[in-house]
Amino acid sequence: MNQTESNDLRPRQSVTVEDLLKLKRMERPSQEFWSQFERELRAKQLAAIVNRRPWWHRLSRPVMLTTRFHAPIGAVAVLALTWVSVRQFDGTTARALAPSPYSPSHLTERPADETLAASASDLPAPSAAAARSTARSAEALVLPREDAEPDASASTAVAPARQVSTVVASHLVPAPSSIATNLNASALASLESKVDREQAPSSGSATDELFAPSARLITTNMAVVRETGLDTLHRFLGGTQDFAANASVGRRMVDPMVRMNPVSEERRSRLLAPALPASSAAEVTTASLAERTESRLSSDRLYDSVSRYGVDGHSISIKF
Amino acid sequence: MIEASKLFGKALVASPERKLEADADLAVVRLVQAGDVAAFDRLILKYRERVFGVVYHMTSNREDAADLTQDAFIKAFQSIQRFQGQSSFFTWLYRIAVNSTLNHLRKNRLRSFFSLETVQQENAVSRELLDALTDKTGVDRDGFVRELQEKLNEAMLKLSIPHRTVVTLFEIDGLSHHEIAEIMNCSVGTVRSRLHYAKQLLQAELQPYLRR
Repeated sequence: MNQTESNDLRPRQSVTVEDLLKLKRMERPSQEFWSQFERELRAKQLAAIVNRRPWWHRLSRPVMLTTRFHAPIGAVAVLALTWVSVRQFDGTTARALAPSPYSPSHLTERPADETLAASASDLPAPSAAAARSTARSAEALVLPREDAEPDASASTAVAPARQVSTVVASHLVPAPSSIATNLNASALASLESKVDREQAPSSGSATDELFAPSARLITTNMAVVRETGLDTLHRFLGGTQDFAANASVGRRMVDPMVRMNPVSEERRSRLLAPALPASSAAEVTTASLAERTESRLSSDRLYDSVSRYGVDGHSISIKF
Repeated sequence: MIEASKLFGKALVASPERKLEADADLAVVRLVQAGDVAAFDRLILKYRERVFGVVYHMTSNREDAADLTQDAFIKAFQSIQRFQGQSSFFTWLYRIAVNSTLNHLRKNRLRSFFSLETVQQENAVSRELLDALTDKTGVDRDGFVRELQEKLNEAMLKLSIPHRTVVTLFEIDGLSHHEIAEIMNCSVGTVRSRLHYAKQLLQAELQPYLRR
Protein backbone atom coordinates (compact mmCIF):
# COMPACT_ATOMS: atom_id res chain seq x y z
CA MET A 1 0.00 0.00 0.00
CA ASN A 2 2.82 2.33 0.89
CA GLN A 3 4.64 1.33 -2.27
CA THR A 4 1.56 2.16 -4.31
CA GLU A 5 1.23 5.56 -2.70
CA SER A 6 4.88 6.24 -3.32
CA ASN A 7 4.42 5.31 -6.97
CA ASP A 8 1.40 7.61 -7.17
CA LEU A 9 3.28 10.45 -5.56
CA ARG A 10 6.21 10.02 -7.91
CA PRO A 11 6.49 12.74 -10.55
CA ARG A 12 4.30 11.51 -13.39
CA GLN A 13 5.93 11.33 -16.78
CA SER A 14 3.14 9.71 -18.73
CA VAL A 15 -0.66 10.03 -18.65
CA THR A 16 -2.73 7.08 -19.82
CA VAL A 17 -6.41 6.43 -20.30
CA GLU A 18 -6.51 4.64 -16.98
CA ASP A 19 -5.12 7.75 -15.28
CA LEU A 20 -7.81 9.89 -16.79
CA LEU A 21 -10.46 7.43 -15.69
CA LYS A 22 -9.03 7.59 -12.17
CA LEU A 23 -9.57 11.29 -12.30
CA LYS A 24 -13.16 10.64 -13.26
CA ARG A 25 -13.42 8.46 -10.18
CA MET A 26 -12.84 11.59 -8.11
CA GLU A 27 -16.18 13.02 -9.22
CA ARG A 28 -18.06 12.60 -5.98
CA PRO A 29 -21.14 14.34 -4.66
CA SER A 30 -21.04 16.53 -1.59
CA GLN A 31 -22.44 15.69 1.83
CA GLU A 32 -25.53 17.83 1.22
CA PHE A 33 -26.37 15.68 -1.74
CA TRP A 34 -26.38 12.61 0.46
CA SER A 35 -28.66 14.23 2.97
CA GLN A 36 -31.20 14.97 0.29
CA PHE A 37 -30.67 11.51 -1.15
CA GLU A 38 -31.41 10.02 2.26
CA ARG A 39 -34.67 11.93 2.60
CA GLU A 40 -35.90 11.04 -0.86
CA LEU A 41 -35.01 7.42 -0.43
CA ARG A 42 -36.81 7.28 2.91
CA ALA A 43 -39.95 8.72 1.34
CA LYS A 44 -39.81 6.25 -1.53
CA GLN A 45 -39.23 3.39 0.85
CA LEU A 46 -42.25 4.32 2.95
CA ALA A 47 -44.35 4.69 -0.18
CA ALA A 48 -43.22 1.27 -1.31
CA ILE A 49 -44.22 -0.21 2.04
CA VAL A 50 -47.62 1.51 2.10
CA ASN A 51 -48.50 1.04 -1.55
CA ARG A 52 -48.46 -2.65 -2.10
CA ARG A 53 -47.43 -3.83 -5.50
CA PRO A 54 -50.32 -4.76 -7.80
CA TRP A 55 -51.30 -8.39 -7.94
CA TRP A 56 -50.21 -8.72 -11.56
CA HIS A 57 -46.66 -7.97 -10.56
CA ARG A 58 -46.72 -11.16 -8.56
CA LEU A 59 -47.97 -13.01 -11.61
CA SER A 60 -45.21 -11.62 -13.77
CA ARG A 61 -42.53 -13.63 -11.99
CA PRO A 62 -43.98 -17.10 -12.74
CA VAL A 63 -44.54 -15.96 -16.29
CA MET A 64 -40.94 -14.86 -16.55
CA LEU A 65 -39.77 -18.17 -15.12
CA THR A 66 -41.63 -20.02 -17.86
CA THR A 67 -40.10 -17.93 -20.63
CA ARG A 68 -37.97 -20.79 -21.82
CA PHE A 69 -41.06 -22.96 -22.21
CA HIS A 70 -43.04 -20.46 -24.27
CA ALA A 71 -41.93 -21.85 -27.63
CA PRO A 72 -42.59 -25.54 -26.79
CA ILE A 73 -45.92 -24.69 -25.18
CA GLY A 74 -46.92 -22.67 -28.23
CA ALA A 75 -45.89 -25.47 -30.57
CA VAL A 76 -47.87 -28.02 -28.57
CA ALA A 77 -50.89 -25.72 -28.57
CA VAL A 78 -50.70 -25.30 -32.34
CA LEU A 79 -50.42 -29.05 -32.83
CA ALA A 80 -53.34 -29.70 -30.51
CA LEU A 81 -55.46 -27.13 -32.28
CA THR A 82 -54.56 -28.64 -35.63
CA TRP A 83 -55.42 -32.11 -34.40
CA VAL A 84 -58.77 -30.99 -33.02
CA SER A 85 -59.56 -29.13 -36.23
CA VAL A 86 -58.73 -32.17 -38.34
CA ARG A 87 -60.85 -34.36 -36.11
CA GLN A 88 -63.72 -31.90 -36.32
CA PHE A 89 -63.35 -31.68 -40.09
CA ASP A 90 -63.41 -35.47 -40.40
CA GLY A 91 -66.56 -35.64 -38.31
CA THR A 92 -68.23 -33.00 -40.41
CA THR A 93 -67.22 -34.77 -43.60
CA ALA A 94 -68.50 -38.07 -42.28
CA ARG A 95 -71.85 -36.51 -41.46
CA ALA A 96 -71.95 -34.86 -44.85
CA LEU A 97 -71.19 -38.18 -46.53
CA ALA A 98 -73.69 -40.06 -44.39
CA PRO A 99 -76.40 -41.87 -46.37
CA SER A 100 -79.37 -39.68 -47.10
CA PRO A 101 -82.88 -40.79 -46.26
CA TYR A 102 -83.35 -41.58 -49.92
CA SER A 103 -80.25 -43.65 -50.37
CA PRO A 104 -80.68 -47.35 -50.89
CA SER A 105 -78.40 -48.33 -48.06
CA HIS A 106 -80.34 -46.22 -45.63
CA LEU A 107 -83.57 -47.71 -46.71
CA THR A 108 -82.32 -51.24 -46.53
CA GLU A 109 -80.93 -50.67 -43.05
CA ARG A 110 -84.25 -49.52 -41.76
CA PRO A 111 -86.67 -52.15 -40.54
CA ALA A 112 -89.09 -53.40 -43.06
CA ASP A 113 -92.14 -51.97 -41.33
CA GLU A 114 -90.51 -48.60 -40.91
CA THR A 115 -89.45 -48.59 -44.52
CA LEU A 116 -92.89 -49.39 -45.68
CA ALA A 117 -94.52 -46.82 -43.46
CA ALA A 118 -92.09 -44.08 -44.33
CA SER A 119 -91.71 -44.70 -48.00
CA ALA A 120 -94.86 -42.82 -48.93
CA SER A 121 -94.05 -39.85 -46.79
CA ASP A 122 -90.42 -39.78 -47.87
CA LEU A 123 -91.23 -39.51 -51.48
CA PRO A 124 -90.89 -36.18 -53.20
CA ALA A 125 -94.05 -34.31 -54.05
CA PRO A 126 -94.59 -35.61 -57.59
CA SER A 127 -93.81 -39.15 -56.60
CA ALA A 128 -96.13 -38.89 -53.63
CA ALA A 129 -98.88 -37.64 -55.84
CA ALA A 130 -98.28 -40.51 -58.23
CA ALA A 131 -98.29 -42.87 -55.32
CA ARG A 132 -101.61 -41.52 -54.19
CA SER A 133 -103.05 -41.93 -57.66
CA THR A 134 -101.78 -45.45 -57.90
CA ALA A 135 -103.16 -46.11 -54.49
CA ARG A 136 -106.53 -44.97 -55.67
CA SER A 137 -106.33 -47.41 -58.53
CA ALA A 138 -105.36 -50.17 -56.18
CA GLU A 139 -108.21 -49.18 -53.94
CA ALA A 140 -110.50 -49.37 -56.87
CA LEU A 141 -109.19 -52.84 -57.44
CA VAL A 142 -110.15 -53.79 -53.94
CA LEU A 143 -113.36 -51.91 -53.33
CA PRO A 144 -115.60 -53.85 -55.75
CA ARG A 145 -114.91 -56.95 -53.79
CA GLU A 146 -115.66 -55.02 -50.67
CA ASP A 147 -118.93 -53.96 -52.17
CA ALA A 148 -119.64 -57.48 -53.18
CA GLU A 149 -119.28 -58.63 -49.63
CA PRO A 150 -120.92 -56.03 -47.42
CA ASP A 151 -120.13 -56.31 -43.79
CA ALA A 152 -120.75 -54.26 -40.70
CA SER A 153 -117.10 -54.09 -40.14
CA ALA A 154 -116.29 -53.32 -43.68
CA SER A 155 -115.86 -49.64 -43.06
CA THR A 156 -113.31 -50.33 -40.39
CA ALA A 157 -111.71 -53.13 -42.27
CA VAL A 158 -111.11 -51.00 -45.29
CA ALA A 159 -108.66 -48.85 -43.43
CA PRO A 160 -105.83 -51.37 -43.04
CA ALA A 161 -106.41 -52.65 -46.50
CA ARG A 162 -106.17 -49.16 -47.89
CA GLN A 163 -103.05 -48.59 -45.93
CA VAL A 164 -101.39 -51.66 -47.25
CA SER A 165 -102.48 -50.93 -50.76
CA THR A 166 -101.13 -47.43 -50.45
CA VAL A 167 -97.84 -48.76 -49.30
CA VAL A 168 -97.67 -51.22 -52.14
CA ALA A 169 -98.67 -48.57 -54.62
CA SER A 170 -96.00 -46.26 -53.37
CA HIS A 171 -93.46 -48.90 -54.19
CA LEU A 172 -94.91 -49.34 -57.63
CA VAL A 173 -94.77 -45.69 -58.43
CA PRO A 174 -91.92 -44.66 -60.71
CA ALA A 175 -89.94 -43.10 -57.97
CA PRO A 176 -86.38 -41.75 -58.03
CA SER A 177 -83.76 -44.30 -58.72
CA SER A 178 -82.54 -44.31 -55.16
CA ILE A 179 -85.89 -45.53 -53.95
CA ALA A 180 -86.68 -47.57 -56.97
CA THR A 181 -83.59 -49.65 -56.61
CA ASN A 182 -84.71 -50.51 -53.13
CA LEU A 183 -87.89 -52.02 -54.35
CA ASN A 184 -86.87 -55.53 -54.94
CA ALA A 185 -87.86 -58.91 -53.76
CA SER A 186 -86.82 -58.16 -50.22
CA ALA A 187 -89.28 -55.30 -50.05
CA LEU A 188 -91.98 -57.58 -51.25
CA ALA A 189 -90.94 -60.16 -48.74
CA SER A 190 -91.19 -57.62 -45.97
CA LEU A 191 -94.54 -56.64 -47.32
CA GLU A 192 -95.65 -60.20 -47.13
CA SER A 193 -94.40 -60.47 -43.60
CA LYS A 194 -96.38 -57.38 -42.71
CA VAL A 195 -99.46 -58.85 -44.26
CA ASP A 196 -98.86 -62.11 -42.49
CA ARG A 197 -98.60 -60.30 -39.20
CA GLU A 198 -101.88 -58.62 -39.90
CA GLN A 199 -103.43 -61.88 -40.93
CA ALA A 200 -102.18 -63.80 -37.96
CA PRO A 201 -104.50 -62.25 -35.37
CA SER A 202 -107.47 -63.01 -37.56
CA SER A 203 -107.15 -66.69 -36.78
CA GLY A 204 -107.22 -65.99 -33.05
CA SER A 205 -109.92 -64.27 -31.01
CA ALA A 206 -113.46 -63.42 -32.02
CA THR A 207 -112.71 -59.75 -32.37
CA ASP A 208 -110.18 -60.60 -35.01
CA GLU A 209 -112.99 -61.92 -37.14
CA LEU A 210 -113.84 -58.33 -37.87
CA PHE A 211 -110.63 -58.09 -39.86
CA ALA A 212 -111.23 -61.24 -41.80
CA PRO A 213 -112.69 -59.51 -44.91
CA SER A 214 -109.90 -57.02 -44.99
CA ALA A 215 -107.40 -59.79 -44.60
CA ARG A 216 -108.90 -61.54 -47.50
CA LEU A 217 -108.78 -58.39 -49.51
CA ILE A 218 -105.16 -57.99 -48.59
CA THR A 219 -104.41 -61.50 -49.60
CA THR A 220 -106.09 -60.89 -52.89
CA ASN A 221 -104.12 -57.72 -53.42
CA MET A 222 -100.93 -59.49 -52.58
CA ALA A 223 -101.70 -62.11 -55.12
CA VAL A 224 -102.23 -59.42 -57.69
CA VAL A 225 -99.01 -57.80 -56.68
CA ARG A 226 -97.19 -61.09 -56.91
CA GLU A 227 -98.49 -61.67 -60.35
CA THR A 228 -98.07 -58.25 -61.78
CA GLY A 229 -95.85 -56.38 -59.37
CA LEU A 230 -92.64 -58.17 -60.08
CA ASP A 231 -93.09 -57.85 -63.79
CA THR A 232 -93.92 -54.18 -63.37
CA LEU A 233 -90.96 -53.68 -61.14
CA HIS A 234 -88.57 -55.41 -63.47
CA ARG A 235 -89.95 -53.52 -66.38
CA PHE A 236 -89.72 -50.27 -64.51
CA LEU A 237 -86.27 -50.88 -63.12
CA GLY A 238 -85.00 -52.20 -66.40
CA GLY A 239 -86.27 -49.14 -68.15
CA THR A 240 -84.67 -46.96 -65.56
CA GLN A 241 -81.36 -48.70 -65.70
CA ASP A 242 -81.29 -48.76 -69.48
CA PHE A 243 -82.30 -45.16 -69.83
CA ALA A 244 -78.82 -43.91 -70.43
CA ALA A 245 -78.11 -46.66 -72.92
CA ASN A 246 -81.33 -45.96 -74.83
CA ALA A 247 -80.62 -42.27 -74.82
CA SER A 248 -77.13 -42.78 -76.14
CA VAL A 249 -78.40 -45.11 -78.86
CA GLY A 250 -81.05 -42.67 -80.03
CA ARG A 251 -78.63 -39.81 -80.31
CA ARG A 252 -76.35 -39.72 -83.26
CA MET A 253 -72.82 -38.54 -82.89
CA VAL A 254 -72.44 -35.33 -84.82
CA ASP A 255 -69.30 -33.34 -85.17
CA PRO A 256 -70.13 -29.87 -83.85
CA MET A 257 -67.81 -28.26 -86.39
CA VAL A 258 -69.83 -29.66 -89.25
CA ARG A 259 -72.82 -27.51 -88.33
CA MET A 260 -70.89 -24.34 -88.78
CA ASN A 261 -70.78 -22.64 -92.13
CA PRO A 262 -67.17 -22.00 -92.98
CA VAL A 263 -66.36 -18.40 -93.68
CA SER A 264 -64.62 -19.30 -96.91
CA GLU A 265 -67.76 -21.13 -98.07
CA GLU A 266 -69.96 -18.13 -97.47
CA ARG A 267 -67.48 -15.87 -99.19
CA ARG A 268 -67.24 -18.17 -102.19
CA SER A 269 -71.01 -18.36 -102.46
CA ARG A 270 -71.33 -14.61 -102.29
CA LEU A 271 -68.72 -14.14 -105.03
CA LEU A 272 -70.15 -16.79 -107.27
CA ALA A 273 -73.73 -15.67 -106.91
CA PRO A 274 -73.72 -13.28 -109.88
CA ALA A 275 -71.64 -15.68 -111.98
CA LEU A 276 -73.88 -18.68 -111.35
CA PRO A 277 -77.41 -17.84 -112.34
CA ALA A 278 -78.54 -21.37 -111.68
CA SER A 279 -77.80 -21.22 -107.96
CA SER A 280 -79.25 -18.40 -105.93
CA ALA A 281 -77.77 -17.02 -102.76
CA ALA A 282 -80.78 -18.08 -100.77
CA GLU A 283 -80.36 -21.64 -101.84
CA VAL A 284 -76.71 -21.59 -100.92
CA THR A 285 -77.40 -20.33 -97.44
CA THR A 286 -80.32 -22.64 -96.77
CA ALA A 287 -78.76 -25.80 -98.16
CA SER A 288 -77.53 -28.27 -95.64
CA LEU A 289 -73.91 -28.99 -95.28
CA ALA A 290 -74.12 -32.39 -96.94
CA GLU A 291 -75.92 -30.99 -99.91
CA ARG A 292 -73.48 -28.14 -100.20
CA THR A 293 -70.63 -30.53 -100.06
CA GLU A 294 -72.11 -32.63 -102.81
CA SER A 295 -72.96 -29.65 -104.97
CA ARG A 296 -69.65 -27.95 -104.45
CA LEU A 297 -68.28 -26.65 -107.70
CA SER A 298 -65.22 -28.17 -109.09
CA SER A 299 -62.28 -25.98 -109.90
CA ASP A 300 -62.64 -26.55 -113.65
CA ARG A 301 -66.24 -25.47 -113.66
CA LEU A 302 -65.36 -22.51 -111.56
CA TYR A 303 -62.68 -21.31 -113.89
CA ASP A 304 -64.84 -22.01 -116.92
CA SER A 305 -67.64 -19.96 -115.54
CA VAL A 306 -65.56 -16.99 -114.72
CA SER A 307 -65.40 -14.51 -117.51
CA ARG A 308 -62.21 -12.57 -117.50
CA TYR A 309 -63.26 -10.30 -120.33
CA GLY A 310 -66.33 -8.20 -120.25
CA VAL A 311 -67.82 -5.69 -122.61
CA ASP A 312 -70.29 -3.29 -121.13
CA GLY A 313 -71.47 -0.61 -123.56
CA HIS A 314 -68.67 1.85 -123.71
CA SER A 315 -66.10 -0.02 -121.57
CA ILE A 316 -64.09 -3.20 -121.71
CA SER A 317 -63.08 -4.91 -118.45
CA ILE A 318 -60.30 -7.41 -118.07
CA LYS A 319 -59.91 -9.45 -114.84
CA PHE A 320 -56.60 -10.86 -113.78
CA MET B 1 -25.88 -19.57 9.17
CA ILE B 2 -24.84 -20.56 5.72
CA GLU B 3 -21.71 -18.90 4.52
CA ALA B 4 -22.33 -16.87 1.42
CA SER B 5 -18.93 -17.80 0.02
CA LYS B 6 -20.03 -21.44 -0.18
CA LEU B 7 -23.12 -20.45 -2.08
CA PHE B 8 -21.27 -18.40 -4.66
CA GLY B 9 -20.72 -19.83 -8.05
CA LYS B 10 -18.64 -17.50 -10.11
CA ALA B 11 -17.92 -15.29 -7.13
CA LEU B 12 -15.65 -17.94 -5.61
CA VAL B 13 -12.81 -16.35 -7.49
CA ALA B 14 -13.38 -13.09 -5.62
CA SER B 15 -10.91 -11.87 -3.09
CA PRO B 16 -11.10 -12.88 0.62
CA GLU B 17 -12.23 -9.38 1.49
CA ARG B 18 -15.13 -9.80 -0.89
CA LYS B 19 -16.04 -13.10 0.73
CA LEU B 20 -16.03 -11.64 4.22
CA GLU B 21 -18.01 -8.72 2.99
CA ALA B 22 -20.51 -11.06 1.32
CA ASP B 23 -20.95 -13.07 4.52
CA ALA B 24 -21.62 -9.91 6.50
CA ASP B 25 -24.12 -8.74 3.92
CA LEU B 26 -25.91 -12.06 3.97
CA ALA B 27 -26.33 -11.84 7.72
CA VAL B 28 -27.92 -8.42 7.39
CA VAL B 29 -30.13 -9.66 4.58
CA ARG B 30 -31.35 -12.51 6.80
CA LEU B 31 -32.30 -9.94 9.41
CA VAL B 32 -34.26 -7.94 6.88
CA GLN B 33 -35.97 -11.09 5.63
CA ALA B 34 -36.88 -11.90 9.23
CA GLY B 35 -38.70 -8.54 9.50
CA ASP B 36 -36.04 -6.13 10.70
CA VAL B 37 -36.67 -3.37 8.17
CA ALA B 38 -34.20 -0.99 9.83
CA ALA B 39 -31.38 -3.40 9.09
CA PHE B 40 -31.75 -2.53 5.43
CA ASP B 41 -30.51 0.99 6.21
CA ARG B 42 -27.12 -0.45 6.97
CA LEU B 43 -26.96 -1.90 3.50
CA ILE B 44 -28.04 1.43 2.03
CA LEU B 45 -25.35 3.34 3.89
CA LYS B 46 -22.76 0.81 2.91
CA TYR B 47 -23.44 0.69 -0.83
CA ARG B 48 -25.13 3.95 -1.76
CA GLU B 49 -21.93 5.74 -2.87
CA ARG B 50 -20.70 2.84 -4.94
CA VAL B 51 -24.03 2.23 -6.56
CA PHE B 52 -24.45 5.92 -7.20
CA GLY B 53 -20.93 6.09 -8.68
CA VAL B 54 -21.66 3.28 -11.13
CA VAL B 55 -24.95 4.78 -12.21
CA TYR B 56 -23.51 8.27 -12.40
CA HIS B 57 -20.58 7.26 -14.61
CA MET B 58 -22.94 5.39 -16.86
CA THR B 59 -25.40 8.27 -17.22
CA SER B 60 -23.16 11.33 -16.66
CA ASN B 61 -26.13 12.95 -14.97
CA ARG B 62 -26.29 13.32 -11.20
CA GLU B 63 -30.08 13.74 -10.96
CA ASP B 64 -30.76 10.68 -13.05
CA ALA B 65 -28.14 8.79 -11.13
CA ALA B 66 -29.75 9.73 -7.83
CA ASP B 67 -33.19 8.60 -8.99
CA LEU B 68 -31.89 5.37 -10.44
CA THR B 69 -29.91 4.61 -7.29
CA GLN B 70 -32.95 5.17 -5.12
CA ASP B 71 -35.04 2.99 -7.42
CA ALA B 72 -32.42 0.27 -7.23
CA PHE B 73 -32.54 0.28 -3.43
CA ILE B 74 -36.34 0.27 -3.44
CA LYS B 75 -36.42 -2.68 -5.82
CA ALA B 76 -33.90 -4.51 -3.71
CA PHE B 77 -35.96 -3.84 -0.61
CA GLN B 78 -39.16 -5.07 -2.27
CA SER B 79 -37.48 -8.17 -3.61
CA ILE B 80 -35.27 -9.03 -0.70
CA GLN B 81 -37.52 -11.93 0.28
CA ARG B 82 -36.58 -13.61 -3.00
CA PHE B 83 -32.86 -13.20 -2.38
CA GLN B 84 -31.57 -16.69 -1.61
CA GLY B 85 -27.87 -16.00 -1.23
CA GLN B 86 -26.80 -17.76 -4.42
CA SER B 87 -24.73 -14.68 -5.20
CA SER B 88 -23.45 -11.93 -2.98
CA PHE B 89 -25.82 -9.14 -2.02
CA PHE B 90 -23.35 -6.71 -3.50
CA THR B 91 -23.51 -8.44 -6.90
CA TRP B 92 -27.28 -8.77 -6.69
CA LEU B 93 -27.69 -5.08 -5.87
CA TYR B 94 -25.29 -4.06 -8.62
CA ARG B 95 -27.20 -6.15 -11.10
CA ILE B 96 -30.44 -4.42 -10.16
CA ALA B 97 -28.85 -1.01 -10.50
CA VAL B 98 -27.09 -1.77 -13.77
CA ASN B 99 -30.22 -3.25 -15.33
CA SER B 100 -32.27 -0.23 -14.25
CA THR B 101 -29.64 2.07 -15.69
CA LEU B 102 -29.46 0.16 -18.94
CA ASN B 103 -33.23 0.35 -19.31
CA HIS B 104 -33.09 4.06 -18.59
CA LEU B 105 -30.35 4.62 -21.15
CA ARG B 106 -32.19 2.65 -23.79
CA LYS B 107 -35.37 4.62 -23.18
CA ASN B 108 -33.53 7.95 -23.29
CA ARG B 109 -31.01 7.13 -25.94
CA LEU B 110 -31.50 10.40 -27.76
CA ARG B 111 -31.55 12.55 -24.64
CA SER B 112 -28.25 13.10 -22.85
CA PHE B 113 -27.56 15.99 -20.56
CA PHE B 114 -24.41 16.49 -18.56
CA SER B 115 -24.92 17.12 -14.91
CA LEU B 116 -21.50 16.58 -13.46
CA GLU B 117 -20.22 16.40 -9.96
CA THR B 118 -17.25 18.38 -8.81
CA VAL B 119 -13.86 16.70 -9.05
CA GLN B 120 -12.29 16.46 -5.64
CA GLN B 121 -8.91 17.97 -6.28
CA GLU B 122 -7.80 17.48 -2.71
CA ASN B 123 -7.18 13.82 -3.30
CA ALA B 124 -3.50 12.94 -3.69
CA VAL B 125 -3.93 10.96 -6.87
CA SER B 126 -6.03 13.58 -8.59
CA ARG B 127 -3.77 16.38 -7.46
CA GLU B 128 -0.65 14.67 -8.77
CA LEU B 129 -2.36 13.87 -12.06
CA LEU B 130 -3.64 17.38 -12.49
CA ASP B 131 -0.22 18.75 -11.71
CA ALA B 132 1.29 16.65 -14.46
CA LEU B 133 -1.32 17.85 -16.92
CA THR B 134 -1.46 21.55 -16.08
CA ASP B 135 2.26 22.23 -15.69
CA LYS B 136 2.87 22.02 -19.40
CA THR B 137 -0.36 23.54 -20.58
CA GLY B 138 -0.15 26.50 -18.29
CA VAL B 139 -3.88 27.14 -18.27
CA ASP B 140 -6.06 27.77 -15.26
CA ARG B 141 -6.41 24.59 -13.22
CA ASP B 142 -10.12 24.79 -12.50
CA GLY B 143 -10.97 25.56 -16.08
CA PHE B 144 -8.72 22.79 -17.31
CA VAL B 145 -10.26 20.33 -14.89
CA ARG B 146 -13.71 21.34 -16.07
CA GLU B 147 -12.72 20.90 -19.69
CA LEU B 148 -11.07 17.56 -19.05
CA GLN B 149 -14.12 16.38 -17.16
CA GLU B 150 -16.41 17.25 -20.06
CA LYS B 151 -14.10 15.55 -22.57
CA LEU B 152 -14.01 12.45 -20.43
CA ASN B 153 -17.78 12.28 -20.22
CA GLU B 154 -18.16 12.95 -23.92
CA ALA B 155 -15.77 10.13 -24.68
CA MET B 156 -17.64 7.85 -22.32
CA LEU B 157 -20.96 8.69 -23.92
CA LYS B 158 -19.54 7.84 -27.33
CA LEU B 159 -19.10 4.28 -26.18
CA SER B 160 -21.93 1.85 -26.51
CA ILE B 161 -23.91 1.06 -23.39
CA PRO B 162 -22.28 -2.35 -22.75
CA HIS B 163 -18.80 -0.98 -23.33
CA ARG B 164 -19.48 1.99 -21.09
CA THR B 165 -20.78 -0.32 -18.39
CA VAL B 166 -17.68 -2.51 -18.53
CA VAL B 167 -15.34 0.48 -18.36
CA THR B 168 -17.29 1.93 -15.45
CA LEU B 169 -17.34 -1.27 -13.45
CA PHE B 170 -13.71 -2.16 -14.09
CA GLU B 171 -11.77 1.08 -14.30
CA ILE B 172 -13.82 3.32 -12.04
CA ASP B 173 -15.48 0.98 -9.57
CA GLY B 174 -12.63 -1.53 -9.47
CA LEU B 175 -14.61 -4.77 -9.92
CA SER B 176 -12.97 -7.90 -11.25
CA HIS B 177 -13.72 -9.43 -14.63
CA HIS B 178 -15.65 -12.25 -13.02
CA GLU B 179 -17.79 -9.92 -10.99
CA ILE B 180 -18.53 -7.83 -14.06
CA ALA B 181 -19.39 -10.97 -16.00
CA GLU B 182 -21.76 -12.02 -13.24
CA ILE B 183 -23.39 -8.62 -13.05
CA MET B 184 -23.76 -8.25 -16.81
CA ASN B 185 -24.68 -11.89 -17.32
CA CYS B 186 -22.00 -12.53 -19.92
CA SER B 187 -18.74 -14.40 -20.15
CA VAL B 188 -15.41 -13.19 -18.83
CA GLY B 189 -14.02 -13.20 -22.35
CA THR B 190 -16.76 -10.89 -23.45
CA VAL B 191 -15.91 -8.55 -20.60
CA ARG B 192 -12.25 -8.51 -21.55
CA SER B 193 -13.01 -7.99 -25.20
CA ARG B 194 -15.35 -5.12 -24.48
CA LEU B 195 -12.86 -3.56 -22.13
CA HIS B 196 -10.08 -3.73 -24.67
CA TYR B 197 -12.23 -2.25 -27.41
CA ALA B 198 -13.53 0.50 -25.14
CA LYS B 199 -10.02 1.49 -24.11
CA GLN B 200 -8.97 1.76 -27.71
CA LEU B 201 -11.86 4.09 -28.43
CA LEU B 202 -11.19 6.18 -25.34
CA GLN B 203 -7.54 6.44 -26.25
CA ALA B 204 -8.45 7.74 -29.66
CA GLU B 205 -10.90 10.24 -28.23
CA LEU B 206 -8.64 11.50 -25.45
CA GLN B 207 -5.44 11.58 -27.46
CA PRO B 208 -4.71 15.32 -26.76
CA TYR B 209 -4.62 14.64 -23.03
CA LEU B 210 -2.42 11.57 -23.14
CA ARG B 211 1.33 11.64 -22.71
CA ARG B 212 3.82 8.90 -23.21
